[in-house]
Amino acid sequence: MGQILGLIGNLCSLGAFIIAILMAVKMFKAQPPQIWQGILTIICFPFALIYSWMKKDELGLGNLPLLYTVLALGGIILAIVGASMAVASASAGS
Amino acid sequence: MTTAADAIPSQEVTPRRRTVGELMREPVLGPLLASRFCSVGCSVIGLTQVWSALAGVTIWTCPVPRFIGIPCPGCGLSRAAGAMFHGHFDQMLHEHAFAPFFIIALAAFMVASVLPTRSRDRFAAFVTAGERTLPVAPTLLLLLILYWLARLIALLV
Repeated sequence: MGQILGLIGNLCSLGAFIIAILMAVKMFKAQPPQIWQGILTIICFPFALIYSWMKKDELGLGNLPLLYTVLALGGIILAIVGASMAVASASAGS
Repeated sequence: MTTAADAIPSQEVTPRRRTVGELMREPVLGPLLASRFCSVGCSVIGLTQVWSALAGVTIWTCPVPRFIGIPCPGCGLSRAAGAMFHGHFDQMLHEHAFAPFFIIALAAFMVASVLPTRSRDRFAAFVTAGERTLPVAPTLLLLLILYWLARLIALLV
């Protein structure tokens, strides 16, 4: 069960990663291009969490910030829960 | 009967391309500091990363090395910041040489997040004016990209 949760967490993180790249591309394509903010998004993906909500309307991101937030936080929580369950079952078995 | 709209032909205004100088002098940190939401958010994220590095706890792992297999430009910043706070400067340089700049930016966000609105706006305006004079943030970001490429080449060779 812990492994399944961990796998789902990894999938959520992958989805969040793809959305962050999409948002960075939108920043580069904006008029005027937000080049430094796009680079910051690639350097520090959690920055995208903040900046995407700030500039959601200006960049025309639609529901991407909400999706990114859900997937990123979901990935973190599921990875932690999955790892905890895996450790608990391993120590119960030993 | 002709109207004013007929007399003046409509033209699509294409945005003027910025020069390299204008791009380099574009404020990066100042406008972010002017937003309390951004300042608080970046402070929380930055402090969480530093705390997790100091405590040896992994809360969030970067997706780039996990899914692509190469470190991203920011990989190692948290560990380097943790090493810096422990006084292990050689380890800090080994993990990521740009950690001091990350700490300075984090400190700026922390200050901006607790200042009253007027003081925060003055602080952000001061930083913005400084960035228009000296292109610190764009220069550091470009150097960070070069540093990342150099580390990648060293890793692959």
